[in-house]
Amino acid sequence: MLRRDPFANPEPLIKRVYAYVAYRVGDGADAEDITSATFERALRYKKSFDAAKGDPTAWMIGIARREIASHYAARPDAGRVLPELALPGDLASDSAERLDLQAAVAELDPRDRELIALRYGADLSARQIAEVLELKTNAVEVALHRALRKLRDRLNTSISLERGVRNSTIPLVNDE
Amino acid sequence: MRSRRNEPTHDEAEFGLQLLEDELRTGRPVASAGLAASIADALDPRRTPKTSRRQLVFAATLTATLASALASVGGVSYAANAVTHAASVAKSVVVTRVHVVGKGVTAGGDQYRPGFGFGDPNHNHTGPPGLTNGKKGEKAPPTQVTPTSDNKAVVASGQITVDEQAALYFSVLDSAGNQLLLTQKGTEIGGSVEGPQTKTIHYVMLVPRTIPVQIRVPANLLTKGETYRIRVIAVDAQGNKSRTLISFTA
Repeated sequence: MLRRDPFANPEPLIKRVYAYVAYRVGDGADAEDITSATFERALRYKKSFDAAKGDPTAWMIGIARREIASHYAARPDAGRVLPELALPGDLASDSAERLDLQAAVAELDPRDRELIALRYGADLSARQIAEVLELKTNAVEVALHRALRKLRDRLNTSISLERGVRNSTIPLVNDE
Repeated sequence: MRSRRNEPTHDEAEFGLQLLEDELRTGRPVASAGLAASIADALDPRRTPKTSRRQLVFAATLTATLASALASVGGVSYAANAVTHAASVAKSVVVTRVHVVGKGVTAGGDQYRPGFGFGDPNHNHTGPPGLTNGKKGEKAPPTQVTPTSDNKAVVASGQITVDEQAALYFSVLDSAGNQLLLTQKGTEIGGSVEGPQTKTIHYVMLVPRTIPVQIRVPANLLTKGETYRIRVIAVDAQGNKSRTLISFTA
């Protein structure tokens, strides 16, 4: 067992764990609670960290996944609550797009959402994700690609629908 | 190249996914500064022992302070135990010396001694409190008058003895009987007193004994060579009143 302080560089670790959790449960108070609980548990079991088995992020994500599972077990409807969307024109466009993106992620099925969170929230490589999910790296890459396409389709749909609502003269589909 | 139904080509679709990936990375949720700071603080390995030592020192200091306060109002035997405990704790931590001084107070001479406490059925003091200038049974020495180093005030020093618990009122009178303004900062009655300037200083004597009295009077209120009097009024629980005057010359 290779001893190393997993919290030697805490700032990026906190950012990655929070982003992962927020992509899973939605940005806000629940994500903050789960992130805090994750670090609390990690601190308690700090001695169990083995640097030979992987970097601290993967270890922390493993703990975060268990915390999220506990969270859902305590509140079965927690995962179904979508983040509150801003009304078009109320916020700057980039903020609105960010909310759209997070809402679209929240609408994905749990498996795809997990993959997106691991890849783009925790910033894990496909190989690291494969270790966390106990899959083959190739399978992770394919599944991730599919999840991204689903996400893109959802975003396109929501943008088209939004435009349709805001300006009904724009056709939803160009049938030319 | 686009299809007839305006669908993106494979390359366009891949480019779109690349943009989406960039957006997922740059737009990922960010922990609030407060959360990040609190977690980082909790993970800091230097935090725990530092706080722990500070807490122990604080506990030792607080115990010593409380023991001192307890001693000043009696119950010295209890305080003595607390001090012993506080000293042992402090010794094992950081503080090397703890001094608790009960001036003129002993466990057998505090207000718990039969006959000396308010409400004590054995309270057998009759009549007004015995109030004397100087030590009981001794001739009082002349009152010392000392100017302060900046010559802005004069300190009149003496002693009084009270033989039962009493509320004491101190004031300084000029030859016409007018009360002068007194400076509490720098004045000592038993111990230091604090507060704004006043004409009467109120002091509750819980332990009957002889106490030093040093009253600070602004120099501009005094005329050199003139005689002034420190008036002390003692009132016990039954309302019995005694009065004494201690003269001094500016």
